[in-house]
Amino acid sequence: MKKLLLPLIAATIATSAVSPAFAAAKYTIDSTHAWVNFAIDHVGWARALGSFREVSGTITFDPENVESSTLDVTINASSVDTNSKDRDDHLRSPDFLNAVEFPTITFKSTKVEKTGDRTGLVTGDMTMLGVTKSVTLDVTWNDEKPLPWDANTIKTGFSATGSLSALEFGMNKVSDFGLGPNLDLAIEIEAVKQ
Amino acid sequence: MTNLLIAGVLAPLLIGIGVAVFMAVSTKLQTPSATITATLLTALSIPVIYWLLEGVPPFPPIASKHKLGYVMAIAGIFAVFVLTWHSGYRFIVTAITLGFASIWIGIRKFSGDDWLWQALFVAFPIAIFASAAHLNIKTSNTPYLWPVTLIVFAIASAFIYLLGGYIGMAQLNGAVAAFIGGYLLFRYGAELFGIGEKIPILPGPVHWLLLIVLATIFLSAVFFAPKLNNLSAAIVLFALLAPLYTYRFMNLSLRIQPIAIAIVTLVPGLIAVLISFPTTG
Repeated sequence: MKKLLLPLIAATIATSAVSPAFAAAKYTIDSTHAWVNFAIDHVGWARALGSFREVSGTITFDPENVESSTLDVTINASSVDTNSKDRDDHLRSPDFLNAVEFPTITFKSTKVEKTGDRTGLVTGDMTMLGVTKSVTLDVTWNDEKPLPWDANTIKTGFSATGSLSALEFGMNKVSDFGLGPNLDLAIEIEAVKQ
Repeated sequence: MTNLLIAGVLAPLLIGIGVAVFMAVSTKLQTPSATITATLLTALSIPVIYWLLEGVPPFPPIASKHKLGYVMAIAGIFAVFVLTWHSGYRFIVTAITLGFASIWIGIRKFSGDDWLWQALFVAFPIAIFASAAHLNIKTSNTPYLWPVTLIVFAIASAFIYLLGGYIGMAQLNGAVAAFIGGYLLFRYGAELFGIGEKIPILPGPVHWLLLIVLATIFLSAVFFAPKLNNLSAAIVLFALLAPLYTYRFMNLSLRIQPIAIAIVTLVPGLIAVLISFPTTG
């Protein structure tokens, strides 16, 4: 019994001594370097493009243990920008984003799967228009390095893509205006290590 | 676009014509009450018009526009029972109904620090709608006064909501206008053939229901339209008080009445729409 226990205890001590080195680091999304873009079919003529200008949130990320990573993002629904003020105003109305009643769109990760050296699937609860649905993002970790002019500030960066149905979130008017209903997301995010 | 025209104009127009035809037939068949028939049909038609444009709302409702669908349905049930009310209570009943509706629909607006300002802000339109409901008591027994007043108000306010960035409410108002237009088309057509009196007058409870429906749409737009012109919204309400003046047109020929009523009611409506156009520079 002793022979069996000793290696187990030794392994446990060794693991606990090593694990702090792989602890997940916390990052804050750099709002000025975060782009949440979307594309939606417009009557088959073209894919209408737009973005949200105000994005914030936190990330916990451990390259050695990707599955323990978390993502918590908040988007200001009023910050929608589609290169037309009138259209943006209409998008903020209850016909679409209903920005007065539901000022934020949130995404909270519930599961992270590693799919490659630098890639993974992040599944999370997206809440938009008061409706919460599971959405999966295909994420690529691009790089992590200090700012060229400030070695103490470390930045990491991710690219992500995903898709969701506007109808599932109760945005029924998309069909009336010949939009979607599927909305493709293309996200580029830089985050500062805390 | 085709779907929008069908759901927002053609279907409600046909439903309005259908209500007029049904009222005419039920009167001919001497059914118990044309008032009950008309109120019941309108109470059933309004949720259908809402569903055609906004879809069936989830239960429990999530957003204000879902609540709007339920308020319209409840107002329909209410209207059927309005028949038994003492008409003198119309002002207070309307004010209470719209007070509750505005709190429920606009709850997220009232939850902010400026809730008192918001409450005062909606008190004015509620007072106007309640006054119009009270005014209707003594003036409902005329064929065109209230249907024409309501259709002009519905169309004018639809433009204001459209320019205010809330197209959904503009469509809904347009659909209600088409419904009233369906009745008016049938009634006025009959008038031109000299058989207008065979089409019963839309009764007071129907006027009340349509007023409540337009009022709740108005409140929704005031709360949530992204760029509604508040001055326009305030001015367009005066179209509902036009019967104070247009009631004197009741002596005119029935062929002229609706035109005269529409012209006078259009004055505040048109001013409101013109003001709501965005200024450049």
